[in-house]
Amino acid sequence: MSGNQLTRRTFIKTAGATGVSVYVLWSGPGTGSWFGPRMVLAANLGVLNATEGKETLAMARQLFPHDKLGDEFYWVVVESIDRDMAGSPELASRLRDGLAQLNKAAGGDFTAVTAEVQLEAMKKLEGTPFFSDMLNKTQFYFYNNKAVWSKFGYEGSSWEKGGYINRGFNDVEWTQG
Amino acid sequence: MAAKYELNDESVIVVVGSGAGGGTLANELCQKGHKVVCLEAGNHLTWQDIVNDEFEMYGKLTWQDPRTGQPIWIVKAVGGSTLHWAGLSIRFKEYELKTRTTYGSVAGANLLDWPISLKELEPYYDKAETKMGVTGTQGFPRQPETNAFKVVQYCARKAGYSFEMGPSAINSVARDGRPACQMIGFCTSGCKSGAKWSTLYTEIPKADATGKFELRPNSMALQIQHDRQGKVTGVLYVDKSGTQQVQKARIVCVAGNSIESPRLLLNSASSLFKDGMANSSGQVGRNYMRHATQHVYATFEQPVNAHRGIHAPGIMRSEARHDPSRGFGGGYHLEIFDVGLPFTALSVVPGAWGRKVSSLIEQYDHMVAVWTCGEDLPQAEARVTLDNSIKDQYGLPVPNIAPVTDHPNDVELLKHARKTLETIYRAGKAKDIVWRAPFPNSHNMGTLRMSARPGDGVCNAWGQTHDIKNLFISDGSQFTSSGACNPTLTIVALAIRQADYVHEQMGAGAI
Repeated sequence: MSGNQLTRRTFIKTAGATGVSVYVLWSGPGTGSWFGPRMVLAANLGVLNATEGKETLAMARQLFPHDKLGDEFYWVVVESIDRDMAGSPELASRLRDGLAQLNKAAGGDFTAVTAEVQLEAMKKLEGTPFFSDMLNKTQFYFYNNKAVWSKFGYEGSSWEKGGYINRGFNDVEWTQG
Repeated sequence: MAAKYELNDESVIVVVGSGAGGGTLANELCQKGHKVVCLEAGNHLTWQDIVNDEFEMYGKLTWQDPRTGQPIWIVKAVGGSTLHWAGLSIRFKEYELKTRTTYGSVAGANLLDWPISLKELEPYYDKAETKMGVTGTQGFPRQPETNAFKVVQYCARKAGYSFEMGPSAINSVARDGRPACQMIGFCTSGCKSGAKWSTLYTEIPKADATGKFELRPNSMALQIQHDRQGKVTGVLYVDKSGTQQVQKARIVCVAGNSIESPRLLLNSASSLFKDGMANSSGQVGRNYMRHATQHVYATFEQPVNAHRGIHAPGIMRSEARHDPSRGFGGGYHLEIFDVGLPFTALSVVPGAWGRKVSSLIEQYDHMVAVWTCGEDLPQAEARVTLDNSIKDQYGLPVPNIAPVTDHPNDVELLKHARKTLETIYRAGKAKDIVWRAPFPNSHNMGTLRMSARPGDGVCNAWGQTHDIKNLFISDGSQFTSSGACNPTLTIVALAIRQADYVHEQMGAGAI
């Protein structure tokens, strides 16, 4: 039964993107399926209105602030959350209600107040299901974005480039002495 | 050359699980000419399924069936946790096999000596290291030093400590039909080159090649069946099409990891075995151990790029000793362990937000992490039971892992390890030093432990259950203590040893 799924072959040589080769041992037909989130920048939101979208963006920025990164990186989060909301009316209503609470806690308009007031407002909602959802989803969607990785020096998939055996796995030199 | 056995073939050995224990045992038995059917609950992943993406692989590898209690992480796939493990392969020390004798009576701990000595285990450790190509042993060269290693070793040296590269079951030279490591990273998301030992592409295809082996993936064992005399006769399982089947068996070997193995025995309760199978001692599910663990991160002025290369390149051994003057029994290894940015971002300060978190993540490429692998003392109430309030997709009660608190010995050990690491990092002029609580446990041990006396545990020194001669425990569930050692090497050594014993007992007509 296993034979047709995973044939043991000797060193199948797969050409990498950079012309470097990686030796791999095993191969098979496979049907690689995609479990992770897809990061497609969409122009429109399905559930959140434009104001709510901006509020979500502002909150995402305060949850994980990276001053050197533009709003486009945080829009990915907003769009992903919007997509999750489209798939769950329960989530949609919880998050919309939460955003309303957030505005209230900020004195009316979360996007119009200073960062200090925003933080105070967020602290008031910490621990609520709305806040936990926003925290977890922002963390996941923001840091699981390949465009963000390179900003922090993470190089992502490496096997197709032959790993790091010839690309700096041991290039630290300041540890001498 | 896969075999195909009839469901009513009573001469086969059924192995439940295809990871370090089950995969190794199955191959060893096939090599000796025995007929083996391996029931594996998970998918049979192919090379194309393995990608360098942490969350995508998390989705493919994780055992996601419902369970309750404390969070743990195990793999559901052909190869089991050998797909996920980082490769570190450390032998138990003699005192770690004799904790009751060495540590004495410790309040709140259910200590017991293994019914096996290091001397008896050593030849099997040799065989396991040879099979797996463990670097720094058996003449296998060590890996070249990685960035993360160089940085940690730099700090350690300044503080008067020392790390070593490996020992890792990751090829440092091409051998056994597999290449040398390419320093891809992503070891714990499935090794794309096959340099890391995993039963998926070592033991299982080798078993296949004997023509004696039938692997049935997507086949979840539900219950072990027995006759009136109490001998096991077969395994009820759900096959890949969702149909219930019974595979008859001469012998059944259970290797479903320390959560699913006791669960299977508990779900096999019958009128003859009211408290679950092989449970006359009442120890089935008890003495669950993980390790005493924590992560300590440090950031530096200069770049590190720890993601380039092996996830767990090296260890520090000098605190892995029993020295009660430190205020606790047993010891710990410090193990360099770095993961990719997605996992680091989620785990560096769990549940926290704001600038203190984001500023750490901005230093991702200037960061290293070291993990503590400390001995976890067995507690009788740390146990796996059935949670009858929730049923899984097969209608079976799910496992509950009792949310016990750390034994005070674990707490003291972790404090000591943290202090040691902070000393090391400070000596290397680290900027920020950040402690974090453990990840969900992926080292799972105990729950069907070995014991000399049948009243103290579930199986004997060969993993054979005290109650039922033709029922074996073949995974980390057998462990009587956790040691301070990543469990896989010992699981493999025990599986090789068990295969010898089963072969000999079958030859003698005893089982």
